[in-house]
Amino acid sequence: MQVLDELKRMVNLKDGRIDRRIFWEDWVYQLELEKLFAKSWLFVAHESQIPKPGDFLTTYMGQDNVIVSRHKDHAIHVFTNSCTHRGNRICFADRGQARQFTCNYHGWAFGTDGALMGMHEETHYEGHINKPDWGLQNARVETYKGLVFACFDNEAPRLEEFLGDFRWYLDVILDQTEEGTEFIGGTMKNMFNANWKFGAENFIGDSLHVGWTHASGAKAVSMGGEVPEYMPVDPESFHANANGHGWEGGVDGVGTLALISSGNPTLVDYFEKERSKMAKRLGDLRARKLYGSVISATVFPNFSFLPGINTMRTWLPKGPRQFELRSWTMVNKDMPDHIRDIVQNACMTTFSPSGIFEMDDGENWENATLSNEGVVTRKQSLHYGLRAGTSRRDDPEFPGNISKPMYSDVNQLAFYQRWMDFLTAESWADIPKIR
Amino acid sequence: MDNKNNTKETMTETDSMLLWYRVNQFYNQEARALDEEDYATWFSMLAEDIHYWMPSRESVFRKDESADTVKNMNHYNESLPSLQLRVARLHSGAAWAEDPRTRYRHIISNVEVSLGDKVGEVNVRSNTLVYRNRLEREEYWLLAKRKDVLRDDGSTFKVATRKITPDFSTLLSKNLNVFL
Repeated sequence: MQVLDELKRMVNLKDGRIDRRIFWEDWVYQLELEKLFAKSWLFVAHESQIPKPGDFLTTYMGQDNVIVSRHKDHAIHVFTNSCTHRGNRICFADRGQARQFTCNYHGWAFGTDGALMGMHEETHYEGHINKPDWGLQNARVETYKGLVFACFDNEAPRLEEFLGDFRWYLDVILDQTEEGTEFIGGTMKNMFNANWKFGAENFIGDSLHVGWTHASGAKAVSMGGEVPEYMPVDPESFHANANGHGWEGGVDGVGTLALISSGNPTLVDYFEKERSKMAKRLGDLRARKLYGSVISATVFPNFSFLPGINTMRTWLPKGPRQFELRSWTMVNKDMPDHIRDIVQNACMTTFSPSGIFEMDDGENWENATLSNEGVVTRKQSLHYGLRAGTSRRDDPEFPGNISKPMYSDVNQLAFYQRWMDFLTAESWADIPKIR
Repeated sequence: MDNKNNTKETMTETDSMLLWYRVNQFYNQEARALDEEDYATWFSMLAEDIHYWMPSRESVFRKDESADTVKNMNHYNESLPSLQLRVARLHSGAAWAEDPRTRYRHIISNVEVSLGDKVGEVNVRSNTLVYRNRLEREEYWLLAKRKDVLRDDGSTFKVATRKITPDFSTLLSKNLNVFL
């Protein structure tokens, strides 16, 4: 209990003060693995990455390596990637096609649903093992409009309830067309010597870093000319959060489209046609005000995206001071090839390890983590107080907790409130269903 | 000396040695330009219509291996104007993360030269080792193979195409702030 009391003092939501030790201490990180990553729904894949039976990919839930696999009945299974005999890793490929997964050590073979099927020299085991007891540990799996989530906790609510009001915002990127979305071009992976939460909180609400951190990228895009005012100055720009998930952005409907299309008339035409189609499905509010605006978002705890730029990414923890970023480009399935090529290139040019915007983020996150090695330094708490406590649930237009304008720490604090909900809960029974 | 009158059949060993020497000189100058952030010189060594490409890689079973395509995730898939845009970021005066500067070192090795299919073109394979050191203790090594087509005008070359195949699947650093 002493540990939990100390933890509770680390996040002051009312004044917006956060203790730097949440980005540094091993004991906090171990609590995150046990009480957050092993309990929460986590993004693991997009359905389009494993379209056919036998298709699989490997990823991480917390630090648990898992296989995400399409079984012969087309159901998606997610299970631990570690043999039940001696614990060796079973599958070493990032993705591929497999009829079964066979351990290199003693030839124990598991099906694409994780069940133990047999082993090398199986006759020795006759009468000594009950195979159904020795399958790989399956997680619960549910999908939301193409996104595959998994969860290791049987007490967790259904995915729809976990996402709650945030589904209304997710639909802006997932439900623009009848055909839905897909990931294209594989996975980009790179390492940061930083705490994973810096990525998640940056995407959930950090509007103010854009104009400063990314000044060089913005100047580059303008090639020496006037830097366009692509960040919304509109007082109606907003932070929205629900259940710890958050969306920050403008309502001008053009900011990101201007950045991506840089005046290319083919793209401008295409995006405007898409907007009209989308208006029929999702209504004018989302099609005119949200589609095309500068927006970034995080699905709690570690899945983030930029609508319009089309980068989707997950911050995989590797210890308190290291994470791996995996990122993908997502497009609508009905997007023509020549548009996809431009969109894919724009996504890579801006938000990949060599991207002119992304390049500057890592430096900040690494040093925001590393400076806490100093015992004196890390005793000084951090300011998260911009417009703390200003969100309201009764906005006439937007669902969730809303605060305007988008320049605030409101979503970041909602993220850390949810984080605290998980870390201090004995079980899901203690975690508020709605935040 | 150029190879405009030479074909694969008429190249003598001496012609090949001279070509290899000239290509090595060219690569050493290019490596120095990149080490010194002398991008004006670097751009002058690239063809106007250059395709500069560095695909990302994944670990897959041998049976699942397939040819690289620009349709996949790329670290770089660039034209001359897009390379210039990236350099403009560095020279914007606002690239905070590049001040103090990163110390770069490019080592080019294992250069293999052969005449290209078109007159005046040279096919070159090489390995590159790029070292980056920043601030107090940050240190990153990048290894890659390069496949170039150079255009030979008799006195010097221009890089017409370059494909850089890195040996990493997960980039072990926070960014890729260097050209290879």
